[in-house]
Amino acid sequence: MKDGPNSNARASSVTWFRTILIGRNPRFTAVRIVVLVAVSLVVFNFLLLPIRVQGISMLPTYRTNRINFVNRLAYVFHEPRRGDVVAIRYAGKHVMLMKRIIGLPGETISFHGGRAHINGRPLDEPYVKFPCNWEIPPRQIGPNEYFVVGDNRSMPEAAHDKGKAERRRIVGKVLL
Amino acid sequence: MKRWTGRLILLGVLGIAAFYLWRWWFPDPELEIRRRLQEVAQLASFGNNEGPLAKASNAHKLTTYFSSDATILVEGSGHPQMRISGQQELLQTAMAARQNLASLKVEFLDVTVALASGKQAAQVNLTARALVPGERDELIAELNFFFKKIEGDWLITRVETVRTLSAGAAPGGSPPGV
Repeated sequence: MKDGPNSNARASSVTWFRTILIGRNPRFTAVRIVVLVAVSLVVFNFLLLPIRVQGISMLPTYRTNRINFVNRLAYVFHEPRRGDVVAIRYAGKHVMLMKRIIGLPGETISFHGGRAHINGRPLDEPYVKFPCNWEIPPRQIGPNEYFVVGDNRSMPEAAHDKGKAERRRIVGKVLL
Repeated sequence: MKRWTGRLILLGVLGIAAFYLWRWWFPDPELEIRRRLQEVAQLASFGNNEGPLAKASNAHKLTTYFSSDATILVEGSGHPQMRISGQQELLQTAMAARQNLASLKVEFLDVTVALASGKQAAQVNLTARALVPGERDELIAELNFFFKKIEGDWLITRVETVRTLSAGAAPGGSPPGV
């Protein structure tokens, strides 16, 4: 009788805590958890791949250590477009390259005075903030290939991964 | 009833033991290759606390995973092409890396093993990631490993870089760089 109010308060706080933790109906909460885990597994394995950006080749658009997602459904209904930032796989999807598509299949690409040219015409690239002086002679892009390059052109040309990526290597479009 | 339960449990234990013995005596080639690759990655990696004896021992052990005439051709953007021929040159390179770098961590990711029809040779495609202290970025390359079963052991005969992004030829078929 002595600690009646105290024990009541303790019991009520325990019930409140339990309600927050497992809900009013534990069975329903368990089902919700299972559904949530299943949906997360499907979404983050097959639809939106979470990635962490590393490196400086996409500066200033993407900074290192930034978290992003790759939309794997982006190219289900249409092919990759110029200006898209895409993830390109190596042997698998654990490590991927993040690059921007600037050349489409069948086009000829070159760099003169640091400026990209498509079929001999200069390409407008508002996302390039750091200019360069790259000189790359004309290259023909194959029927199933895309020319990709990073936004940070201030890097030495030899140290910058760029070139033709086969369509099958493009995993998806970077979401944000 | 109790006797039957005991017999069933014993049968299960014997079955599991037989399975593991079978796997030990006749290992699955793909699993064997994957295991060996993991060991290669471990031996190629080293910490700054590795003693001189361990350095020599691990570098030597690494070479035993390669055939005597193995060729390694590795290239990365901004890095010159590296060509290593034979176990002796590989040993020298492994020792030089251990002398010149404080530490190195090598990982093989996304490993795909393709066995040849006779199961005496295999080609492995993977992404190699190497973390060198002091380097701003990790070194990443897609590699093809060629394995051959020589005297019962799966040995690496060739390693080469796969060009994920190709430079390609200029219009009209001129060689690259023209």
